Amino acid sequence: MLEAQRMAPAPASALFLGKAIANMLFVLVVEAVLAPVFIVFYNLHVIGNPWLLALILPLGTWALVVNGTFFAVLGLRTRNRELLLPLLLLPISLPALLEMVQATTGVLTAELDPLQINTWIVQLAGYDLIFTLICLLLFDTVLNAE
Amino acid sequence: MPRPATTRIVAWLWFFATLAVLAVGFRQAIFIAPTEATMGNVQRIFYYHVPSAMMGLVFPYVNFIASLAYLYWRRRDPLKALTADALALASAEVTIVFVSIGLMTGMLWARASWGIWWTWDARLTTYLLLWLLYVSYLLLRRFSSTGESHTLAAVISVFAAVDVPIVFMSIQWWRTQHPSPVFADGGSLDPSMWPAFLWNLAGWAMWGTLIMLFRFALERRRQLAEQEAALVAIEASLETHQ
Repeated sequence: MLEAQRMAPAPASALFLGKAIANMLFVLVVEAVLAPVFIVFYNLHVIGNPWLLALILPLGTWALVVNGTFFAVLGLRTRNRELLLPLLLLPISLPALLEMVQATTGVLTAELDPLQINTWIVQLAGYDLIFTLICLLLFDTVLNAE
Repeated sequence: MPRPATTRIVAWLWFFATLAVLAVGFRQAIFIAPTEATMGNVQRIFYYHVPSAMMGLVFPYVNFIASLAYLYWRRRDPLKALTADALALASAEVTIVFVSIGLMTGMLWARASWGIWWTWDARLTTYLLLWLLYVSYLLLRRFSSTGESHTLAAVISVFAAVDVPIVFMSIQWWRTQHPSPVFADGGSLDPSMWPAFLWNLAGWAMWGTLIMLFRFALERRRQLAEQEAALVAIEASLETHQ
């Protein structure tokens, strides 16, 4: 597969984007099924603006998916790759996790005022942007590491 | 290859200068700086905790620049790339040392003044994950096969370098249990405490630079020895074909 990619005229970042979008779609499908389940089982009443959740969920999902896809490929040719993937993903994803949890909590409990919630969402979007760009730029390096 | 005489002299001078600065800093911090009003003598750990923490945020950038240099020179000039990689490795290890010291002194200070070892507020959490990132950097170097490890580690370093500003921004975005920034945003350090702080900052910066360059020289020696061995092996294999 890697040899085929090298022969194709498409840049490696196109391969990465394809993988990431595919993973994103899978995870979104799972979320679409699980979100109502959560609401039912946890008796969630959204006190704040529920439409914000429609913004937070995709942004947060993308943050996790884009890093996961990148580090999965990065660990492809290492020993102990099962160990390395979560070890690398945890510190890198933590800022995104903090931001999305704070934003979601703010929306669900309405304990944060809208300005604070929007700040968290903007930070999450910024995180997405930065890490998508970095992953796109560095994917070629990782794929052709030797 | 023997180290040139000037380098050795400079290294020894730097070493003694570092010891001298650290000694002055110690005297300043422990004996001369005034006792803080609320915390008492426990506050003196500030003169070790904050310089270590600050150094722990500087060396990741040395690692970042060295990693970028490695990635740039990887195809263009492999020998320079190898040097850059040696510097990246040395600075990563020194980063972990300083971040560990920052975390441990912070925990000791927190236990003494707040009664808790740890809290999951923004600054502590992100500082911990800076530590985790560089530990995984070193683990990645160990786990990946040679040849690739340099490149993959350089990629990790880019990610880690992006994380460091997030660490800093967390101070401003989150209400935390950590004392509000002493130097920015109108927080202030009593002028009588500045000498102790600055002497310790200079001393630990000098010490960090010293051990980083020492480790760099060590890594370079290892790389050169490896190259020598590879050359000998190639020449040996050439001879048997005659």
